[in-house]
Amino acid sequence: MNDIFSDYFAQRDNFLTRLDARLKVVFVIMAIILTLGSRKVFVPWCIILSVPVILLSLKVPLKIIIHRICAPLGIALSILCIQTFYYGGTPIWRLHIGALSLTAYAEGLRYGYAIVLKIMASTSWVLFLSMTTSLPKLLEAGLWFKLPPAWIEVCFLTYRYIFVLLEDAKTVFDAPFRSLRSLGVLAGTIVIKAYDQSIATYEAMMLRGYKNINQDLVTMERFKTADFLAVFIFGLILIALGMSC
Amino acid sequence: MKAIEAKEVYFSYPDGTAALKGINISIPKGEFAGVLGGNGSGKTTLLRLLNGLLKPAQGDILIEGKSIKSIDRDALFTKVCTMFQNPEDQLFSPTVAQDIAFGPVNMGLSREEVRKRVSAALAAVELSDCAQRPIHALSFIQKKRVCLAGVLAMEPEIILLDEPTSCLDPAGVSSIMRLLKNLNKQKGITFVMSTHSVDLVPVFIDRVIVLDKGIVVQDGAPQAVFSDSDKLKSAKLRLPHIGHLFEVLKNEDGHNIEHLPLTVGEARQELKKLWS
Repeated sequence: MNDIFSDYFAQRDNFLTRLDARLKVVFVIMAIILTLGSRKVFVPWCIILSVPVILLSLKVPLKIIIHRICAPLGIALSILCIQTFYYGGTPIWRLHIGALSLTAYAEGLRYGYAIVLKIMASTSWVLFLSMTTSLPKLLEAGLWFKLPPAWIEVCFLTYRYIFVLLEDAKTVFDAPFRSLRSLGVLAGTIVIKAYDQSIATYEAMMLRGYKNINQDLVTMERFKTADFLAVFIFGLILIALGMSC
Repeated sequence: MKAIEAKEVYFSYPDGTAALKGINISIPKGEFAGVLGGNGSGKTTLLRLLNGLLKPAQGDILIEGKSIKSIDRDALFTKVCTMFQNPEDQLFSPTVAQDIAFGPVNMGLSREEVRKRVSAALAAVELSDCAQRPIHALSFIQKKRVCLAGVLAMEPEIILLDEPTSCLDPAGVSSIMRLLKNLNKQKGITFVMSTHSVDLVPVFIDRVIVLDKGIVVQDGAPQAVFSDSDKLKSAKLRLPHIGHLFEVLKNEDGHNIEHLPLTVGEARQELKKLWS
């Protein structure tokens, strides 16, 4: 379970992980905007196919890529179904289940297909960012972009303790009593553990002089030569995307 | 000079459990003191009173001669630091360097000074190559070391250790204890360590305070404290294994043993004497 949530791959040392997080954030946001604005089908298809290839070349296991794509793919397919059956006026197919009759429309299918491609292409960009940039670096970049410090601090704590909670959840799930598998008991146990943990963490923070959010904990590094090279490459990709819109 | 003094300290929890009943202790500067006791003896409560997390119901705690009540929070957290039993409680930042920097940043130090202290603390716990690693990627012993580094970076005069060796394998116990002892010797930091690992005490600790049901039942050098095994048993403790072996040799096999050895070195000397 940890593999799906972990940013272990972003901690590895390679050209893309070494690049400044701010650059990657700006690039991915612009790429998503251009992808969403694209009217041609081949643009999202290119992204959907090329991002996994890049990630595989960084030795990210295919299983992890598929796991991470599954959730947005599920949402995208639901949207495709809704669009196909509830939007349009040219019937292409009818489904009868007892008294229930569903009609698929050509316009809905086309529209839904375009939405699916855009969702999956945008998700691929996010996947690219999350596999090449650790969450602390993303949050540091967020602070540099003047996101609210309180929100960033909560994200830092969430990032830290999500793995502790996952361990606790695993321990409870592995308990020999089958009755503990009841979702209510499991959730209750995790909530109590989280509550205890929050008190202990608060005390530890107080003992190390915590008063308020302190942005001095975060220091962004200066841009390096490789970052300027990346600006050039990212720029070319964005121009290509823009021209294909 | 006294680093810590507790004078007639009483403390009860809101449910009425009397955790400490008139504690009197005095720990000189630079001493490595161990608070020994069974589960529920009041060890952790005592540490939480010494670091100011709890306030005594009666009595007073003095830090370097000043009542803890008169020391403001900012001054107290720079003088007295605590290493928690569970590293997950203490490590709340996403990366090692950020966690170690947390205390120094809150002390208002310059960025340069914070960077220096983080590097020095990482070097002291032999984790210099882990600065940018996320905390969840560390092993348990590494997490313990990062906890210690976070405390060392604040350069406190007193460090309270709540069972620092719990859940560690034997090699981990030795490595952490050696590290603490070296810091105690080299930097003159006063350590107060709560533990129920009696085997560690004679090897690393200068002075032992035994707690039982919230009362100090013994206080002195390990040799003196471990000479009365009955008192230890009543406090839900035991002699170190080596001491127990020699006690049996003395009492049941009638060997002439003058001083009860508590460490491997002492036992070796005693055995040499017996065999000669």
